[in-house]
Amino acid sequence: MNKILLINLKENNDFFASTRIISAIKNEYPNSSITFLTLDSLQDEANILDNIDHIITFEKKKLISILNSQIYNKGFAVNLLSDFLSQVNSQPWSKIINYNNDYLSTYITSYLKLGQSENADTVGGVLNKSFSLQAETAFEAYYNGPYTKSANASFCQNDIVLNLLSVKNNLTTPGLKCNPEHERIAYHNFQKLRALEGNPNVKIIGIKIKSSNIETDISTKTIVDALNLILDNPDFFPVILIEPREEERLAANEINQFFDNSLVTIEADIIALPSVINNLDLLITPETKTKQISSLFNVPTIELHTKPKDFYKHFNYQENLIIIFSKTSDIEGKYIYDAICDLLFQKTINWGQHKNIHCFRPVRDELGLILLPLNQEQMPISSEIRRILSRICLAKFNNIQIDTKVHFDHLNNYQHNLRIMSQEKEKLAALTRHLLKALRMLVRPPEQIVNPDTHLEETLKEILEFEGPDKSIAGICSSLFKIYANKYLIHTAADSTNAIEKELFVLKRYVQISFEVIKHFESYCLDVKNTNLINNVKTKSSELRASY
Amino acid sequence: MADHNSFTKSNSLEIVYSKKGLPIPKLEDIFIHSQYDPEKEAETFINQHLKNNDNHNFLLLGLGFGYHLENLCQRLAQRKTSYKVIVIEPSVELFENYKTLRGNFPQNVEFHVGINIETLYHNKNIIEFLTQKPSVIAQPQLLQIFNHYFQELLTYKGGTTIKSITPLINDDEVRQYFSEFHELTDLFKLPEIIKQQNEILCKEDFIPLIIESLNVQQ
Repeated sequence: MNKILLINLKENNDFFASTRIISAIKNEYPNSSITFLTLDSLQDEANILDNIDHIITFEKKKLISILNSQIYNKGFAVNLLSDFLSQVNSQPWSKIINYNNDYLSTYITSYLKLGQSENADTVGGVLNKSFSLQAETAFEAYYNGPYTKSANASFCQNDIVLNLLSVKNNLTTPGLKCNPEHERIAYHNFQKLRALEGNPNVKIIGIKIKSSNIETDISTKTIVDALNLILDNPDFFPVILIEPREEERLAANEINQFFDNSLVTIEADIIALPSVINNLDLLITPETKTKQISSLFNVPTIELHTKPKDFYKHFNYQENLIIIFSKTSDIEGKYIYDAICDLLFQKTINWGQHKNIHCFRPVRDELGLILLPLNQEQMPISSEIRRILSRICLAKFNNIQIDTKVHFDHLNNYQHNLRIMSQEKEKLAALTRHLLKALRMLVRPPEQIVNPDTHLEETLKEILEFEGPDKSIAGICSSLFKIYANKYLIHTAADSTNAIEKELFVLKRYVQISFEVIKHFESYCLDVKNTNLINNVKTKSSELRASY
Repeated sequence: MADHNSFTKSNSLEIVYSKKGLPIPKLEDIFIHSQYDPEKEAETFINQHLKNNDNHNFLLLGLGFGYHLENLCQRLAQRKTSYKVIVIEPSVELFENYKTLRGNFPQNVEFHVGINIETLYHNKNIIEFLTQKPSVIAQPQLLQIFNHYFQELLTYKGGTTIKSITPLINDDEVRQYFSEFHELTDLFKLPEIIKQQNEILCKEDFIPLIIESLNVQQ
């Protein structure tokens, strides 16, 4: 039997998102036993996850309190940690999934690999004895390297993990244990609401008014504006969703006062929340857990973001989703209303006119889901182009064929695209020069090497110091090389010349592929530009002919 | 519950009775509770502390004859959620008299009486409790009388040297591992040290690294 350990130690981002991974593993390996390692503060949430055989919790907050406060003897921290590690290391795991790829999870994975689980397959970062991250494929190198810090990730986290696990995403059930009594009550009450409205087809729209962090909350004005528009439409019925916390009750009361206390407020704890969300027709939320649960039930969702966080990596894994990102907590209520109409009635919206916000929608390709911009006219398009093209490049690095039309069609500012491609080509050319120089230096005869101890670092200096993955496609290529080459840098040049040479040829392949992708995109842009030109000429001539 | 230390000046304890006939300790000429109505006084005092406070854990500094403790526990029991109170009382003599004259031990209370500060901070139960961030309620009269004791309690600094932490480590192997380091700072710098010195790469133990990573994460 496969004994699988899934490490998920993040507070917010990924908790329920990992449910898809668990379901996919269970589907592929029905006899596997899955142990879920999470924080003790998330025990209640972990208890409602389906397909989990065991739960191990880690008292991270307690450990940090002991370490950070002067009053405690640090011996308690050592005990707490060693007891925890003994528990996790008490059995060999056949597979360890470092889902979040954060420092802590990476150290734990590495520790287990050095202990009972030395033969375990791992997904996500793991350090070898020389503290180098290990990676065999481009996906692995990307996930363990640039992806963790990238602000413009071109992959949803689940897609990469599923790919690395070689399992398919096929969520047939929500993967949550719903309480039948809660299910029954929620269904009954929602039917009652529909009956009260006198319209059995009325769409019930849930609005989560608070997020877990005050900095990511949406303003009261935005919520009130959106509610006014929703209430004006007889096909919609809004309900306010809150957690059983005094702060949220007060916020709900404040909003309700704008509507003479006529709004319905639903208070649900984490046990009841899945039953409530399952009965909604649409959810609007700035909060992570709620949105992740809605994704598991495939409830159409509008995610509201006010921080340029990593929603590129952690967006809700569903196609019936719209993401609205604004730099301020004020979003025009009309934009939210438009997103509702788009998701529920497929109404055509002119997103390009929506100012001060960035809107995205997931689109499916051969690698899973990718967020594509709905109103690129309003956003910094250079980073968007790079993000989307880097996905195509990474697929090709991994020998995965990908139909690029869906991506290219979304990038329709052709004049601008061509200018950016020209910059990207320059950077790839610069990287190629560094690469050729490194290859030349690497094969230099020993008598010409001044300092053998530093020769390798000097040889690779320009590639290793090349700009980061968010700056250019060439930056992604060099970042992947850094991960591959890292493990050899502790050796002297003589020991690792062959290995480094091999990695440089891998980099050369990545650079060539990137050039091809850029050229392909350029020719696509030129084709469309020419077609548009011809069409314009034709239209003008027709107009002229008509005027004679 | 108590060790042999007592922080009370001997023969300074007197017992007097309130108008309602309730026993009141008098230490160093200071009445620990109200001479008129200690229960009413305790109620007012606890009311102030429980206002806008929904914590389930309380650390009571100074027991006296337990009027505050009793009121606190009654009020916490009314909330119908689990709670815990830890009482730290410096005077063994005071506690012995409390047992004899009042003898009312509320539920979910742990007493630590006449115990020196270092021993208190080496007690796993107390550490577990403190990491849950209890609300602190100090009995003002006892705080004044045992000023030095409570001052030491509130300003104590736990061990950060290898010498001070190793006796507390339960696991023999881990203790042995830690004792190989000269200073704890060496330990927190281990990732850097290992990167610089290849020869210690074979140390197959990442424990200190995890400690370091937690600090980084914060």
